[in-house]
Amino acid sequence: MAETTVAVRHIRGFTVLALVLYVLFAWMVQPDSIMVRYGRHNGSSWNLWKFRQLDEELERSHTGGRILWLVGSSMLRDSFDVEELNRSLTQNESEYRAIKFGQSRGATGISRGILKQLPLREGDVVLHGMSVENQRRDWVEFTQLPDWRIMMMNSSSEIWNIPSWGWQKKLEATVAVPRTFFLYQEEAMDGWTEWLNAPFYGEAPTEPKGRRHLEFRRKTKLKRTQKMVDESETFRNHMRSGDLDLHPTQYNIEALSDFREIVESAGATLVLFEHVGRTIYKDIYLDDDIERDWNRWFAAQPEAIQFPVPPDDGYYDMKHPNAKGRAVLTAYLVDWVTHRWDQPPMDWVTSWQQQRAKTTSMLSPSQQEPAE
Amino acid sequence: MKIWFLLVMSYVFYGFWEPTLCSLIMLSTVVDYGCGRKIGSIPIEQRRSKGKPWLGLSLAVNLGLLGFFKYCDFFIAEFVHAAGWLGFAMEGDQYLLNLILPVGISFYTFQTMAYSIDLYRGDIEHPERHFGRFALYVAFFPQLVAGPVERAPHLLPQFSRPFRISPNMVREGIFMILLGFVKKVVIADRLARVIEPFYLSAAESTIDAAAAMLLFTCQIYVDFSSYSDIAIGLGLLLGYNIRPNFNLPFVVPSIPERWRRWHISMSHWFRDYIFIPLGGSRKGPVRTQVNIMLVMFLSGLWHGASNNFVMWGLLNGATMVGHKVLVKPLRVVSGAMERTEVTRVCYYYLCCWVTFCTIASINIFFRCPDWETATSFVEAIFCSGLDPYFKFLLKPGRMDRGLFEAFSWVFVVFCAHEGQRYFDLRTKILTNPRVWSAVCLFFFWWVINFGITGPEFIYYQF
Repeated sequence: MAETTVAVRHIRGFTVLALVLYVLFAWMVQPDSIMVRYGRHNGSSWNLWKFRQLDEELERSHTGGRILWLVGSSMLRDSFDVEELNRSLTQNESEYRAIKFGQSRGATGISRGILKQLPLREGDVVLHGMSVENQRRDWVEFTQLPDWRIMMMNSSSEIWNIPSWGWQKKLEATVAVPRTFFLYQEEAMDGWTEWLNAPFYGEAPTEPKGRRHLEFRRKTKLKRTQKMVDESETFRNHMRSGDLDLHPTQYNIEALSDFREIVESAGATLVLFEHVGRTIYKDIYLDDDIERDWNRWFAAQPEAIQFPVPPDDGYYDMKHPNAKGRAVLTAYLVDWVTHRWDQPPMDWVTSWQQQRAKTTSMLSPSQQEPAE
Repeated sequence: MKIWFLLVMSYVFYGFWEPTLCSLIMLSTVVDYGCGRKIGSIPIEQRRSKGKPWLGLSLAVNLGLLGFFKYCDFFIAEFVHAAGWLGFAMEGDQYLLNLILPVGISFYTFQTMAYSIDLYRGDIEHPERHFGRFALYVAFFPQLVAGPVERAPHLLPQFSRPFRISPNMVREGIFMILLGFVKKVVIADRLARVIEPFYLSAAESTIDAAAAMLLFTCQIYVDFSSYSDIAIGLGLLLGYNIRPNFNLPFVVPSIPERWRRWHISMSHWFRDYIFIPLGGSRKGPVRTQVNIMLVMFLSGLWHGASNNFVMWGLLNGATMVGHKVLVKPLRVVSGAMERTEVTRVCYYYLCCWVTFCTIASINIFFRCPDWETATSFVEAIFCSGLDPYFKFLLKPGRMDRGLFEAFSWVFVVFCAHEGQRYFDLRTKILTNPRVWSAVCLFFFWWVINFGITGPEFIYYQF
């Protein structure tokens, strides 16, 4: 019995010690702690880092002091060259300057995490890109985002509204303490790994700059289109009837209503545009009814505007613009800030039909049927 | 009081995943408790005659649960397939029930069946009268969802005795839990992350397929044994001894040796309740080999309802039988190789490597999600000739960094394994408090800093 008493005392002691050590180790993981700086690798983390570096007064120091906030996914990130955009806006003596927060898998639900932190002011414009593939019924599962990435960009109450998460998962995400540890542990670990690998690779690690997360990807090479067409039926991203969910409780649609609320309460303007992608995209990856429903839904959004579609060689994959596509979209955005068109003037638009004709020969007869 | 508390906590633990599935475990508990009481009320010498209906009821309920939830869809799909082959127009999916497989059902049903069979055979004289204790035996949370499959004569008496625990048990328990966590979240999940992409579709490259095949065999060992380590550690902290499930099975010189050391509780279950009742090795060499094949076939089926698992079981059986056939010529070779220490060690590790590769090849059917993927892996690895391997050996620098790091972890596992075999590291750590403290602190740090979020335990699916 005496031995049991001693053993139980040991268990209590070790429990306390484990808690102390846990707090100590966990406390060492902070958003900008040294190992996180060496291991930072994901878009959300880089966007939050950029937000922390933001000097609002400096950003608003130009005449007019308004900001065009570009908030969205990797498609938005790759669509605009902010450096070029700001140079043109300065030349045009515009009262706007642009700041971009684009991240991979940054659909509306994820971008919401950035938007709600931004210091929006009256007269600012928030430009957000939307895309049909982000309106999947099971988007959170489909994207296979790690839980910490969802936690990084969503508050506890937003997490409880994710329809596809079970209550257990929601509970775990809510009680994860300290939160910064759960959010940045993976990047801290990657930093440690870089340092531990250094002796084997013979060179000291360097802090990544995150350019591909903060600016755009510099890819240009387009994969073989015919291969993509041939494999489109079995491709994971193919959306079939029933995959599209435009119901208000769907994760990204629900986030859109938050977008509206946040922007409206700041007196700013929300503008939505569609990442259309290559002309062949909808033909091979969307069932006809999905394309129809999506087009109808998007056109009905009061904030929606049309953007020009870059030429077919203006992409490095089906949806992400390369330098050529980025030049078209950036130049258009500069003009749009001045003129605020609802639809691009004809000289901006390469004819959809013309572009479609170029790719039709690759399609099978069933894919060639007109979508609308 | 402690028994009821642990029982409630075990149900909370199990129900956390899906509360409704607690009813299945409750059903299995109530039926086996009742059947056990009935069988136990019969004098030992008459149990084999008069206890049959109660044993039958126990087996029917447990195998019924297992069959319904685990195999129903498989047999429906096979039936529809066969019907289509015979010319009847049937669309498969509409007949499937799409049942979710309750976590741990294969483990707790086997555990309860073992109790009834032991009573029936007279291996247990008196049934457990205390319902709480029996229910805890079925649902004891540390080993509930992925084993070890406990036996009533070992675990039940521990629930009856007063709470007793020693500082040594605490030390060992903490060490085992931390070791299990390191194995799971630092090593196994890291390997899983590297391997996963290779198995999402058919194999495209010979080298990648071969690398994924070798790495998976390490992953499954580390993943599965980690669960057992944590279960044993938790048991020790609660004052209970749970039987070990692994005894250094990673580097072994032959297939039978591997099965003696791998998933010991389940191997013993199949040995005691299937192999020996079938006649074991007492009825001549042919019957022995038939029995082995049958047991391994059932073992494959136990893992899952798919052609892949059936093939996995049959291939394992075939290698066991093959070893029995080759054992005499192998003895001659090993006798020759044991003349010097160097040749003995070389021969030993050559045998280990051949065994490892054989197990890894068979495990292709275990890991691949379907038959088509598995055959594509087999073709990529074994039907591409030696050219890709030579090219790789001449230019190994082409291996990507993820694979290189994964193989580094395999090397770490190998070193730890052999360190335990030759130097009994575990005992040395446990008997020296300073070393124990340093190792535990190191493990704790590793888990916190290098633990990654990975897939659930592989054996959860069974």
